[in-house]
Amino acid sequence: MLQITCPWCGPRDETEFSYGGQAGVAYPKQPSALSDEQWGTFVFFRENPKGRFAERWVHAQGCRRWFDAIRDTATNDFLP
Amino acid sequence: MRFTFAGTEYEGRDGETLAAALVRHGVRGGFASIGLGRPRGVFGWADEEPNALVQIGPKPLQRATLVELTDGLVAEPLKGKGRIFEASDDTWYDARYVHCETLVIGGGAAGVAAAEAGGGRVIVLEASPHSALTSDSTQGLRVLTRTTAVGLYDGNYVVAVERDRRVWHIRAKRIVIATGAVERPIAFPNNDRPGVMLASAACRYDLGGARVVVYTTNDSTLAFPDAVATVDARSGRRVVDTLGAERLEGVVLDDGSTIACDVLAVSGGWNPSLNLWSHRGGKVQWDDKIAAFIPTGELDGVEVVGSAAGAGLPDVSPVWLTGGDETVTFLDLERDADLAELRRGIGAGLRRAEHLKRFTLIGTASDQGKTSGVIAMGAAAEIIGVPLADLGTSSFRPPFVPVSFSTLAGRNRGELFDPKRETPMHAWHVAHGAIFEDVGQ
Ligand SMILES: [Zn+2]
Repeated sequence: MLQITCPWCGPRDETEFSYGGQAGVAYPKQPSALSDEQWGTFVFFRENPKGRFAERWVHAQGCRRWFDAIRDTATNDFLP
Repeated sequence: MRFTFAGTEYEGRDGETLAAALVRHGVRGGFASIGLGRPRGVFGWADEEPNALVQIGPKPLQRATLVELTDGLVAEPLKGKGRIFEASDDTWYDARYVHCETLVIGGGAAGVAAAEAGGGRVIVLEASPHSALTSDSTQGLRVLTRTTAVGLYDGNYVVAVERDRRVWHIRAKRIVIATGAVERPIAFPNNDRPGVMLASAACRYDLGGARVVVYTTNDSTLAFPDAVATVDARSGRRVVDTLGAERLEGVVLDDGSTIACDVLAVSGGWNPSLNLWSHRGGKVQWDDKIAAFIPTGELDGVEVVGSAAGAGLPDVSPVWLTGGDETVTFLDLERDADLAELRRGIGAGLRRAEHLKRFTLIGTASDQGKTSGVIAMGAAAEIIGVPLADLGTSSFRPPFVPVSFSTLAGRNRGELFDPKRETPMHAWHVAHGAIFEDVGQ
């Protein structure tokens, strides 16, 4: 089981957290202006790197706050 | 102290295992193999045991080598499979969650040294009932005997089981794997006859006046007491068959001569116990000198020490193939898998350890191939005609030893499995005859 450091609560077990996918995916400024293809890309297309990956996590069973973390997807190590 | 095995009562001693008592009473067989029903007997000393499986009350598939005798114990031999107990198991099981700076897995010499050098809170896990260390809370040292680490996971998270009663969830800054090495046998025709044992087990049991022949590939058997003969594979000698039916009566050598004996102590080499290292994705490489896999590369926060890392293990000249009848040359005793079956797998075009394992089932029994995995790979490499390292390695998965569902469930059973929550007007609903639907939590 991973150990994830919540910026507010400190290191806790993975089971206290929920995953929010890739970090830094901005919501379109004008969703109605997007073509179907652009909308599809926004909704479904994400990076899938082997190595460093910036992610959203929520401390669902703790303080319930969202934060960004960088995880190495090959080793599952969280990077500072 | 009295105990019952297969309907017969025996006298037992304090601190003795069921297997040790059976061997001391001269019970060489007493078990049967899962597929062919061939007579089998105690083969190993601890968790590597493939033959001596017993049912004790509600608990199926217990290894006689790990069962500590208690007065009135009743054990029934199993033919490879246990029985689900009909009544509910009323034993209490529990779980603990702990953190430490240093976790040492294995309480042998290397483990003790690592524990003494370890900083902060130190936890030592020792599978046997005995440890050279004792817990000392003033020093932050906790020693858990009869405790086996069954899995090593991401984030240096270890799950260990104490006496099959308590599950320890341990998060450690640093983990030292000091799990030692396990002896492996040699494959030759009728190598499963009751009385054939690992040399490391045979030299620890009370064999009474048994006539012992040692068959070895290395120097670890030098200290074997009172052998009537030693067959040293390094000088080209081979055991090519065994004599007897229900129990061993003698061995046949490569020159056709026979030696009468009751016990054949076999040493085919030593395998470092790298299961936990492999759980976390640690890599291994073949070492020709000691003829075994040793750890290679690095894992953050995990180190392997002592004979688990190959240190101090003897040089080995392995014997993979002996010839003779391959349908009775057993590679995996618990699975009843023989050399003929391995050859069929190779004939079907399989060339990788992972594929051969699935075709032959070698290494898939509840002993996880502790004595069979490497000898099967050695035989396969020689049949195919490639270096053993070319077959790849088979990865280990948790648990290292079988764990019962009741142990894992702990207190989360019955009412506590999924506690019922009721609304404030529940009593009113009941009083008015409401029909309820379980909507979960
Ligand atoms: Zn938090």
